[in-house]
Amino acid sequence: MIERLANSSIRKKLLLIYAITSVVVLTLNVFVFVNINRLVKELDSVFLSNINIGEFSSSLDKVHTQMLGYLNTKSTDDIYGYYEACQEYESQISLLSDEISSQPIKRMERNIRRMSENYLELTENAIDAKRGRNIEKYRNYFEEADELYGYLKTYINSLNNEYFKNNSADYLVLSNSLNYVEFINMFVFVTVSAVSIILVIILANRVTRPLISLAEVAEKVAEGDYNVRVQPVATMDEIGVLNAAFDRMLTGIKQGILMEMRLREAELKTLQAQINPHFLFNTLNAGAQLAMMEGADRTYTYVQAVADFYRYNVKKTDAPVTLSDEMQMVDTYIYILNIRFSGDVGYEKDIEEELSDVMMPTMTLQPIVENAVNHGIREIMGEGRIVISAKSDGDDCVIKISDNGKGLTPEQVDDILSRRTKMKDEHGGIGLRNVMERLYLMYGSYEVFDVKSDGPDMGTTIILRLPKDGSRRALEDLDQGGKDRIVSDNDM
Amino acid sequence: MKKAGREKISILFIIALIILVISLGIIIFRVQYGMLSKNQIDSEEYTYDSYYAFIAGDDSDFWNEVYEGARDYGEKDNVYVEKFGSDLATGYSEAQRIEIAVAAGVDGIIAEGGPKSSLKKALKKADEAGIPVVLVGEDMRAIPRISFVGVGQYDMGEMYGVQATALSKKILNNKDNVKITVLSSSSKLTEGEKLIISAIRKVVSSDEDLYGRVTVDSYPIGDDGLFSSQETVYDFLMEKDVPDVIIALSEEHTVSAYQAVVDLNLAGVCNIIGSHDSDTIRNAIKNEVIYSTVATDTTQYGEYAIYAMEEYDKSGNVSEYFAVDNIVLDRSALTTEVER
Repeated sequence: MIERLANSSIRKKLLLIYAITSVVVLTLNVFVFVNINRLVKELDSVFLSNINIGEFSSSLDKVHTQMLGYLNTKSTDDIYGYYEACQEYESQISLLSDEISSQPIKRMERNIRRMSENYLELTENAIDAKRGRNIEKYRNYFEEADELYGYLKTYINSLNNEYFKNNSADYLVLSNSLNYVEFINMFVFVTVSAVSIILVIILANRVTRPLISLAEVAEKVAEGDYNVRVQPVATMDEIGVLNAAFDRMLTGIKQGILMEMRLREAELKTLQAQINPHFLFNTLNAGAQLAMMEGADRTYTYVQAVADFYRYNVKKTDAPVTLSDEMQMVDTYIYILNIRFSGDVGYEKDIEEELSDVMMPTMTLQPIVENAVNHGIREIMGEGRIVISAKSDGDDCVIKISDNGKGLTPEQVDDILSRRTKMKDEHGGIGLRNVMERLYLMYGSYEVFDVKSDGPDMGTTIILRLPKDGSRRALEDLDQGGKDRIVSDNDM
Repeated sequence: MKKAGREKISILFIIALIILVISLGIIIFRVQYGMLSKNQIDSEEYTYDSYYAFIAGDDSDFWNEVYEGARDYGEKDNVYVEKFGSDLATGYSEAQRIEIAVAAGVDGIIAEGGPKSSLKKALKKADEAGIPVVLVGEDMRAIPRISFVGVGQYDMGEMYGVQATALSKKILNNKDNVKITVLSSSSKLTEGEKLIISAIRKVVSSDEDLYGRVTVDSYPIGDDGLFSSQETVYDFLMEKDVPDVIIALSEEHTVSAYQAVVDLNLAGVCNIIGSHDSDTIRNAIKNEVIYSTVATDTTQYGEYAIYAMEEYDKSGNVSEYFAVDNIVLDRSALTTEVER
């Protein structure tokens, strides 16, 4: 449940904090209110019995006065008053205990009840005797009733005293209780309030701490420090989501910067590579012209080929080229090699006509062929052979560069595909990894490049699967601002 | 993560603390409130089957002890015996208290008999109201009481006589004659007092050694109104002819005589034979100011009264007279009691 709460939204959490505090405060108020209310009610009723007994005594007085009045004057008002008073008194008598109880108060109530019944009987007899004008009789009844009235008054007073004694004790306890309850209430109120404040502080900290941490990290990133780490947040509320997103964004930025650095490095290398070729290219051109003047046609062709090779190198470094341009470059390279090594390299190509205009990064095929020559077929016995084919496969153009060289072990294949090889070829050329990186920068995936070999001495095939339609746009994008694309690719 | 764990524990702890504090507050309030309710109820309540009024002429220790005996005996049979009128704000006479008890419709009245006409009138009212009456202390003629519980006055007189004889013999070792004075309640001797004095004289005169050498007379105490008995005893002992032996027939007279003998430095000159058993009297016996005391078994007294009432209630008949036992307490008896 706590986990679920931790993952709930900030809104819910804030509502929960508010709800908890409200419930605590409400409970406290109810607690204090109930306690005080209860005691106040008790306090109100403490002397209720004294009030009641006072009323009871007044009723008795009324009966006696009315009887006396009637016996004196025989007035109709008095007799009505007498009956009314009797009724009231009887109703009050009925409320008294009639038990022989161990409690003195109840016993006194019982005695008063019985004495009252006798008293009323006597008054009734006196009234009847008065009606019958039996003076002697009603005098006697009156005297007896009067005597009993005196006893009753004493008994009622004594009961009142007993009530007062008990009620005073109750009042004392109640009064002490009130002070006690006041203290308890104050203690509970202060303790719970203090603890609630601590609870709110903890909960608020819990909610805001990741936000503060994130703000600090963002501030550092804004200052240019990318080597900061976002504190992981266990909860999956908005802050958790924001944290994770920020973390991913930071990783993306870091990768983008790395890519940019690599690109700059590649550009620098290309620039460095351009310095010597320019001189060499001009020199070779001069050599070619000399050969032509001297009538050495083969030398002229060879030197021209070498010059073309370097011109291609120097021409465009960033701009995309067509497949036919690349193939021409390969042709030139193979020609040069064959002159160099007396026609050791056999070369075949099978390019579908429609794929000639497929755009691709410059210097893609030549480094692969160079790699096949240097590592594949140079060290084998017999004629080395390189076959290049370009076939259409749906929306893709599949280019295969195969050799019959010494092949690769599965580990080597894995190393190449995992990009654990060097960026630069040991023979001074552009390594396979360089090609792979550039293809990745172009197409945003390493999937376009694949290596296959059936094992040692079984030859190697490099397969490039380049999109036919997307290629031009991708290459154009690269041409215009490839760096932006790298970053956005990483974001995906 | 550790911090988050600590926080979780803190939150749970705080919530638990809030619940605990509020619960504790409620419990304390409940306990306090419970104490209040308990105070209001006072104690556990019992209901009794019958209700008898015990009404004695005075509030002496003797009658209080008799009442306690009656109350405890009644308690066993679920009968409540009340010392009637003791909780009233006004001090009423015995007759008035009987009238109140009659008006309050008690199931039975245990009253101390006496010669007053108001008492007779009140007891007649009880009879008219059909309330059975058991008389204690003194019996009354022409009163429809169901039974009488009391000491045998003549027997008691004989006990005083025996004590007086023994004491007189001691005194006669140093003197020729012994004067014994019985302190009576008034100048007009009651029936009981007459019987006691008569028995004393008979016992004393029957002893050959004492014949003609001992006189027994009476002196009225407490006939002149409230608080007069102590003053009268004091005055009596200040006269020239101080008796050798004083026989006090009530607890009040015994203590008054004892105090006067001590105050007037008459210990050894005037010897006291008292009545009743109390700490003061026992101390006086130990100090040899009081020679001995004739005590009535007050518990038995009370028990007989309730027994008579219950017996009547059950069968409609009861024995007319129950005699309560008396014992003599002197120095040797007290010593034996302590040793035991």
